[in-house]
Amino acid sequence: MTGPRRRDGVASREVDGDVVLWDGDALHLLDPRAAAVWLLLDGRRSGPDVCRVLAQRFAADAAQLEADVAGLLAWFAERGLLADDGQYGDSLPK
Amino acid sequence: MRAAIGSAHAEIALRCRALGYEFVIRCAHPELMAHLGHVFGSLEDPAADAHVYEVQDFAGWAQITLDGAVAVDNVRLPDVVEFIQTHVNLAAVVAPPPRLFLHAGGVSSGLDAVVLPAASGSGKTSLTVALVGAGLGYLSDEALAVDPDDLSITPFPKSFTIKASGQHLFPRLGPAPGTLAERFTAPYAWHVPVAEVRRDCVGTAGCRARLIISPRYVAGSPTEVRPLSHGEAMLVLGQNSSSLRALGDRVLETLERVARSAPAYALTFSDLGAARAEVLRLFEEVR
Repeated sequence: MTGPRRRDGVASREVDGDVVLWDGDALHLLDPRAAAVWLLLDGRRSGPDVCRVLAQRFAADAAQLEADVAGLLAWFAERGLLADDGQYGDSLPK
Repeated sequence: MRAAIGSAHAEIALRCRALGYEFVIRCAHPELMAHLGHVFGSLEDPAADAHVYEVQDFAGWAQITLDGAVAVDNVRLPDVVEFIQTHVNLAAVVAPPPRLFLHAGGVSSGLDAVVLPAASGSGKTSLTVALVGAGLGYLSDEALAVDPDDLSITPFPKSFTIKASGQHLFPRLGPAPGTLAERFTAPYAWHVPVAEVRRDCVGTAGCRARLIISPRYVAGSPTEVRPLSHGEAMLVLGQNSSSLRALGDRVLETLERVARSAPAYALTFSDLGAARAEVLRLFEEVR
């Protein structure tokens, strides 16, 4: 494992392009862009890897994309939605 | 209300059901018991016989026991209804069977329901009272039970709890001077018997959501409705549920099925009459 990974036990459901998460305590709604990031967090991809995949899907400025992904990873982490492997900190986009 | 003669005094008991929670209220204070019977009468179920609230009056201060154990002591008589109602609400939500409990108002016409999920202070009860007054059936002003299998709604027609912030909207529902209601009602919350809003207004069991509206009172705002996506509707429903854990691994599936069963809107309002008209218009559209 080298990258951020979705925490086990967080249930997710794709609904018309959005993704709704249930972490056993609270619900979270991800818009399609946040959902795309979430679905890529398999632990094998680093933060920059996630950015590269998204750059192929979305026409977006690379710097903006990196900032968005970093913000989302922080948002997921703050809410305890990522596995606490201690592995992904260095892989976040700078 | 049913009465029985005790050995030392007239004992009166009211048997009730709040969803799956059965309870009996006993009180030897005849006037307070009469008031309790008035407030909780819409939940009366002569077959109910499980948990017992017993209210004892000690010179104007009450002790309430639940199943023989002291639940609260030194309660002012006007606070007795509030205590029992709050306790019953909480107990009803955890009573089996597992259901999706929505912190929501609910009104109906036939088997079609309008579900009004919202946080406390959003104007949910005021809007529910206004819609029942306009002729819709009453399901609940704060707790709706949704069957996770067939999505049917079980009414919980408790008395309306009108908090101080909304009392100016319904002056005729306040406790009349010189009545038992005035004597036993705390100013922070009126517990208005259902029949005082409209007689025979309890909605039909087994109805299903046809419209979901999340109301929010904002002082000075115009009346505005915004359609919610299915994901947003799931969030609103889930954030206003107190029983998600009880659904186990069916949480998201159940929320999605409810969200897809009816169009959903966020309603912002400050004018109750305009908000009522908007809900009635949207309900007419989907029926």
